[in-house]
Amino acid sequence: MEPTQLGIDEAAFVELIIGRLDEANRVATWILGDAAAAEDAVQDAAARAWAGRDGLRDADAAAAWFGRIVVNACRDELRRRSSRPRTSAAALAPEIADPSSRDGETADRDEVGRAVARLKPDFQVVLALRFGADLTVPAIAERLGIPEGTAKTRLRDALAAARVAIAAERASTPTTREARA
Amino acid sequence: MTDHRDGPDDHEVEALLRRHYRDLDPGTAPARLAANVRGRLSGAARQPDGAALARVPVAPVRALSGRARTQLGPSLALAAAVVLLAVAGLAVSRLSGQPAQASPTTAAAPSGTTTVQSTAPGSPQASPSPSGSASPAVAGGSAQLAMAFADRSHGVVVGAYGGRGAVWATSDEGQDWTAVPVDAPPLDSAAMVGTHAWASASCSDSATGGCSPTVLESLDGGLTWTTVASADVTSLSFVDAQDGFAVDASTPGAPGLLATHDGGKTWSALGGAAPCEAGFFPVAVSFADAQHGWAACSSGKAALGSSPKEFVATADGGATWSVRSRADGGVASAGSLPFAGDFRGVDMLGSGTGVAWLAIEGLIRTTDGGATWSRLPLGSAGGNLEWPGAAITPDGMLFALTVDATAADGSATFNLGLDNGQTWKPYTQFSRLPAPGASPTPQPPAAVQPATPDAVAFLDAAHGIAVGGDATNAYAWRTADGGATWAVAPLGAGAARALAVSGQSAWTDLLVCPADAAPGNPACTGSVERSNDGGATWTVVGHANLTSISFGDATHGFGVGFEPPSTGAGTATGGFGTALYATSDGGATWAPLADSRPCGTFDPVSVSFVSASHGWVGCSSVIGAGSGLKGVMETTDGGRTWSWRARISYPGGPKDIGSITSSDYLATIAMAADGSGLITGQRGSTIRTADGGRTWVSCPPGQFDAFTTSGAAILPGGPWYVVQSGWLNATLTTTESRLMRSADRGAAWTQVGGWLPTPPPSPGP
Repeated sequence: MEPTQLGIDEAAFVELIIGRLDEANRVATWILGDAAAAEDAVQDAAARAWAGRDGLRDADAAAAWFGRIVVNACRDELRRRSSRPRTSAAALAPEIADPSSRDGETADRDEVGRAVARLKPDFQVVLALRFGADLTVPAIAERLGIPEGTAKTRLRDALAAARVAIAAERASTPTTREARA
Repeated sequence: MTDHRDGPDDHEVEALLRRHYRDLDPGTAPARLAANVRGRLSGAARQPDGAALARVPVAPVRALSGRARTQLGPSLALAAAVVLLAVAGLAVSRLSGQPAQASPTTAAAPSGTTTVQSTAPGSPQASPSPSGSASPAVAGGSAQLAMAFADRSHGVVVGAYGGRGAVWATSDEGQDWTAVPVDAPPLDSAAMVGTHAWASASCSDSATGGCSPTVLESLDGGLTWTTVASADVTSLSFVDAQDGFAVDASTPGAPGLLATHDGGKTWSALGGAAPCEAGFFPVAVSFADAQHGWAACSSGKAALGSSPKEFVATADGGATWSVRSRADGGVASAGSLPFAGDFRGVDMLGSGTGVAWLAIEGLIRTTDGGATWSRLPLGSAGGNLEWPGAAITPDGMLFALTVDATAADGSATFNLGLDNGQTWKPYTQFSRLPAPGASPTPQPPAAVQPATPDAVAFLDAAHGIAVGGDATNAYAWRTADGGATWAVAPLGAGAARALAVSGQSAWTDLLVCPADAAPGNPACTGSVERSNDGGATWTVVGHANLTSISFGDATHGFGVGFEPPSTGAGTATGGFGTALYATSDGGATWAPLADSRPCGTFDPVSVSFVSASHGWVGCSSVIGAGSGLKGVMETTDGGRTWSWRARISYPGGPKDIGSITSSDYLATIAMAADGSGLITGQRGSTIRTADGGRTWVSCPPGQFDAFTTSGAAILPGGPWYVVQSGWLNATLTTTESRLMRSADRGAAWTQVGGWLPTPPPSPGP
């Protein structure tokens, strides 16, 4: 039986992750809209990558793989915010689970930010990758590990949802919008 | 830009989004991020002075996210309503028909206890002191999911559904699960010995109040539960019906070990020395017997890639403990414990083989009592798995639960480990949130069962036959090269379970049964078929309803079938109602033996005769919660009189005789004239004897990880054979069958040739 020791060079693995941190942190920030949450998610992703380091084949594959884990970590965080049952999530991190406090945190955000935050996690992810990271649809598909057609559909649906959400935000906060206009 | 239309158009939405993300762009990541990641991932290994471990949480409160992620796995969905699967229903009827709860003597082997650590503070700022970490937020790490197996067939998964406790129970190796709502808080720990199961709710996850720590027990394999105590314990480990161990969950941050000697009703400190060294505390415990136990110790300083921990053992019931391995990121490290990932649980056997599961690292296995560990390849490449529970059975079988944190439905998967955990078969999916109207029970993957052989026999070292089938059709396989290659041909509609050879003749029984009747059911009609050309052509020679046949010579044969409906002796005792039959004219006519049910309240299942007078019968009991109770009888006068050679019985039943395991259901017995022989089980286990059936030992575990009935045969003076089916191929995707051969009376086995050919699947009935 193989010993527990790592199958790849630890130092090379760490440097590979370190080299991807800027990009990972930007993507995480775009998706989560929150610098502190993004840094947590990146560290979370690094830990997940550490757990799966035996699966690494080469540096290129590892970089793409780490990128996907970052997105997954962010999506988990979004799911925690939006869909965790109140009882258990509140015990862990009330400031995440409580929508009212979440709203309070972002009260000073503009309506686009609020609108995006209301979208379902998959939509937030795809919008961040398209309009934040400026990835093409094929690149998004690769990053998410989904077929290109699915990515295209998801992006289109996300845009439509964002449009509705932004309109709703405007309708619900006329004073803010008019003050800014 | 923001005019007063009702909503923006597409171009405006895109522009707004681009501006939104541009405003958010953090540019270069702060240096602390790289420092933190570097420190957590590699600092420990290469900077033993610990400087790299100086972690600065980015957001002190949010640093709990590591725990939150662990939390994701947990809530297994459980049915609000109990829905019994078809086969589970059978299990229930067996269980409820049992006259008394199974005593631990029916499964005295070390308990397959599993535990899930629930209280280890996982956030960087968590203090190991009770006062510093007793807040609900820190203690909220309950995995809310645990698993225990008493043997490879019987196990429970405990968890929560709708905020209340819930259990799934299986009696068939996890193929079918019965969902049981439990009137208790969410359960986070389980233990099982025989059909006696325990579960506990430590309430460490409860921040909302109203949660009372609870210990429950079940005497029927997990189907019904009663509260026995209100102790705040987790990581349950029982060694018999009375004696158990647990981690004290009432003092998060500095728990100790507790012991019970009354089946869980009262708990007291284990006493003796502190199990863990200074700076560590036990988070999970597993005892193989009253003396030999192990504890997984945490530092309470777990975070991402670094989690100081140690593994300790006792050989004197907890009076003294010794460190088996330690991972603290520094020079004091010993053994090969992974540094990353906090302990979640551990399950050890008395032999020192066991598994532990960790938050990030997943499953690790030891064969030397915890000194060295190797990581098992279950989901380690995905990066998104949680491992809330695992179990090792007394015969070395591995099970594990996994939860994919990214799965849309948050479902948990029950996995079977093969080859000592080197390969894994995801088996049952537990949906976390059943769709409206959907069946809330776990859904085993739908699979078309290909035709597989049930019985095997060899005419000589080259020529062999196997018979079996799928749901609707029977087939015969033939080999002329000792099993290296096989040809398969249809036998006809129906099932063929029995096969016997004598000289150059072979017999089987083609059973045609009603749609809802199993082969052998009295409603079936059977045709005894004989082949004189090695299985190529078959001719009906008689009529009987037999699921096992053995011929002592060309004319004298014995078989197992259902007793004539007029007697009703077997069914009156709650048994299968099977009886022994014999022929003295080569299979043309069959009649019950004068003593057709020699096994008493046990039922004859399989016969093996080495001459017209000398033979053995393997018997099974349906009493005893399906524990695989079985026995072996021998005759030297053609079946007129029988003597018990081995028996493992149920409480209140006949006494145990000889030495034979209660694990697995008896499928086939095959004996040689010198009194050596083997018994195969319905779940792929194999045991062998060398003294006429008095004492039986297991063949090496890991070798027979098949999961369907396997047949066995002994060529007089020649090799032993077992034909088995299951997920035997490397990819674990389809059912395969293979022939195993032993040249040393069952000690060592090697596969002969490749997979047996599979006829095209029959259309469903």
